[in-house]
Amino acid sequence: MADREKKEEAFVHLDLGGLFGGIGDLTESLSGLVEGRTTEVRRTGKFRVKGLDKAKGIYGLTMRVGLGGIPTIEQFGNIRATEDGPVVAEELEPLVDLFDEGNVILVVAELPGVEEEEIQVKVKDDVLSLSSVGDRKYTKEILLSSPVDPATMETTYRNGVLEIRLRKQQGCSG
Amino acid sequence: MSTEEKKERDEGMAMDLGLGQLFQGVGGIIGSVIDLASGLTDMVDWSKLDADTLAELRRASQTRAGARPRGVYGFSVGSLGGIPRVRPFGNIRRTEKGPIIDEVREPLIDVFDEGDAVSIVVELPGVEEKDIQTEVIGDTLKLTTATKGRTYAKEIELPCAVDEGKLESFYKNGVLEIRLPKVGGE
Repeated sequence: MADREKKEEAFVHLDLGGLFGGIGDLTESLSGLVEGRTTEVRRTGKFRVKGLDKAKGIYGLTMRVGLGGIPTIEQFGNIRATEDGPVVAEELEPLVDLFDEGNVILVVAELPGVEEEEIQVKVKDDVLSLSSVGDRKYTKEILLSSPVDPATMETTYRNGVLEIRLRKQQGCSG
Repeated sequence: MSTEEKKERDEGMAMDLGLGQLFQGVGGIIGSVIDLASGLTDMVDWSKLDADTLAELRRASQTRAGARPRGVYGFSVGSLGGIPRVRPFGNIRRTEKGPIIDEVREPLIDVFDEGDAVSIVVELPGVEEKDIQTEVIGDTLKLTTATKGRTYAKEIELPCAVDEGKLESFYKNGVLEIRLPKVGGE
């Protein structure tokens, strides 16, 4: 019972009008479109397509409702919209969270499947470039809320999550 | 089946989601989803906001203390013998009262049939190995995690009967791999 109560509290109702509803509807159509057929394929027990593993498409978005109810939307994954329709790229954009902690900016990136030594991080002023080499190629350029001092960078990597701490540049108004 | 066409696409750097008639529909819908997501951001006319307000908004959305729960929503698209397979993930769910951000996140998964076994790959970034619990009930694999601040849960439908007693799992860098031999398999 108490558990259930706690769960209710954790729910946050989104008030984004019909737009998000639209995304939900579309995804349902997307699943519905292939549902019947996939069941059939599964019954044959042959659903590993070699070579397509790498080309698996991932599309995601993260949403945070900020000041004045304005949503901040970030997209991640490897499906990119092009003029000729969506394509699956080889490089994945990771899911990234940014936190401003006063003097320090904290960047949290989800890089599941990557070895620590495969990760490369570069910082210049207020731009952080993150990439990984190996089986999973992640890449992302992140705009920070203020310029930082690259020499102060501290990183930790554990269970597929990379945390980067950077001190803001001295004398910066931000 | 035009295996040649598929091979050709696989070799390319980018796979066109407009592959065949089935993919055409999926590609179109994915395009619409991306358009809608971009539309959410475009609801705000950024050009009308002055630099101070923009900086303020950027700070506000990046402050941990003031941060509201973060919603994640997504899907993966794979191909099963040329037929698209869509799996949603994330913690944004539809309810009768509209979409909500849940504390529990559905992970990104992949299920592979390896002949004599079923293998399942689950992405659980941020989770400690000791916090992962798996259980096979009938033809469903139940997966839950209890790491603080990172709660994932998923019920995975298995393509056939498996031998639960022979479950093997391996966890590294936020990726869990499970192997379940099929019942009656060699």
